[in-house]
Amino acid sequence: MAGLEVVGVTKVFGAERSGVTALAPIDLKVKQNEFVCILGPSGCGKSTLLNIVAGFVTPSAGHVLLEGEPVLGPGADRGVVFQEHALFPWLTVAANIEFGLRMRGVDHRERASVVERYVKLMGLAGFESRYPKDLSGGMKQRVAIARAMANEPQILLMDEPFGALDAQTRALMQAELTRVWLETRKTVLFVTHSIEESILLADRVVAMSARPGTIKEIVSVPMPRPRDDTSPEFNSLKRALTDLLRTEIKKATEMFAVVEGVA
Amino acid sequence: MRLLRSRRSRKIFSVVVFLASWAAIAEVNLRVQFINPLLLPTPWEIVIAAWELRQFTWLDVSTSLSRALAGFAIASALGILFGLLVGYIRLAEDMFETLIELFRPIPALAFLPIFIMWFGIGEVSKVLLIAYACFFPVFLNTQQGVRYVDPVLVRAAYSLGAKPLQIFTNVIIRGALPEIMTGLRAAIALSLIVLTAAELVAADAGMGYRIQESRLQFRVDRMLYGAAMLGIAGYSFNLIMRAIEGYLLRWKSRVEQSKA
Repeated sequence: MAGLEVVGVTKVFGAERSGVTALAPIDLKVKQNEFVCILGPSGCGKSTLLNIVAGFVTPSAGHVLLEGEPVLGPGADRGVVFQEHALFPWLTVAANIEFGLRMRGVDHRERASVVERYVKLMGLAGFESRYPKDLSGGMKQRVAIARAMANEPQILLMDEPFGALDAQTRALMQAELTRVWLETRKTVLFVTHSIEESILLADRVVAMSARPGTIKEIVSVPMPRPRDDTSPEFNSLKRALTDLLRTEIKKATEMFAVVEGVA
Repeated sequence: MRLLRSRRSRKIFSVVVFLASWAAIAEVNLRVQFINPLLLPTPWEIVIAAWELRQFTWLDVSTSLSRALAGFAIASALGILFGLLVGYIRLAEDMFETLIELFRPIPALAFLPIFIMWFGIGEVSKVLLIAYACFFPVFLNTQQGVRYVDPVLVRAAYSLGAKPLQIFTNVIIRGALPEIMTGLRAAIALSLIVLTAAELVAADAGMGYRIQESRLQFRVDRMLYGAAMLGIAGYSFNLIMRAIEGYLLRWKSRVEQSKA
């Protein structure tokens, strides 16, 4: 039950002394099969933290452990879903989904069965031979999630994956992700700036504060899934998190561009 | 107009109007002798010239095309290779980019007399000059393409477990392909320009040579026939390149054109 451990991770962008501190020491544990949301306003360093866990950014101090192994760079054990979907535009839906398996030299027949499984799971049947240009934003994110999951990573890292979608599609994708998570119980670290989204999805919500980015509070969400966003429990939790973040949002808007721009 | 409803008919229409205007002007000139009619042949005189020179057609076309294509092939291979290296590997950029950028502004035709001195008036000097000239657009576009591959795609590939060499072949080269194709299209058009210049200066066959030979005979009709052959060759090259590009880049979305 090691899961993911973030130990004393900090990040300073720019020169050692004059640089911008994006992350003050962060300690965080994500248990296996747990869904954790990192919630915070723009500029609080939540994407930087995710990029450090993904191995795209090296921390200034501290380290990240996955199943006890230190993270030294990006790797197939951590599947990433990006905000801008990041599908390979020259590959079909099926070829995108099997990309990771192909890189590892998995043979053709096994790849086909994995593709079939994740096409079914993500509701992509009939779109296998389409190119990303022919898909809507929601469908692209389904492919991106399928591609990350087909690689069978230990943990799924999701960086505001529904941030660019319209409200209806976003609600649908949140419901779909809940359904898929209930089926697979994949460990997920999910970054969002939406309070509702974090309460809908997460077992625990990690509320971050800005300047420098630190964990302000970790809130458990004990409601069973799928969750009703009109229920009294939902709303009282939403109110609590809104109060918690209000001061942070104000603080963050003042330095908005600085940190996220560098990350 | 009903006739111009289909796109194909509109395309043919523009060519027909051009030929008809030319024929009309040439025919009128034939009667009023505004300029010497030898300088302004009619379209059918070009057709007659083509018939008179039919015994040379295959020789001229095959000689010219093999020179152009040989030069283009060498340029493509080297241009893509160096473009990929310079675009992706800093060491290669430091080693080669300045040198290439120093040579690039020199019009390739400036080397034509030098290449003839070095490599003689045979095939070698022509093919090498075409290869030299065509190298630059292929190199430049490939290098740009590599530089502007979306970095998020590289991150995505790494996090899916791709190794650096796999990133290079599966993401960098694939991502740079649209620009590589642009470079190849520019190069194949350039190959005909350099080919013609080389053949005008020194050759014993080829479409450019036919123009030069006809000039000495004061046969403008035959000179225009030579130019028309080059035009058809260039048009065909472009059609082929567009077909290849359309297939290789079928994944790319295109801008919706105005229907007007």
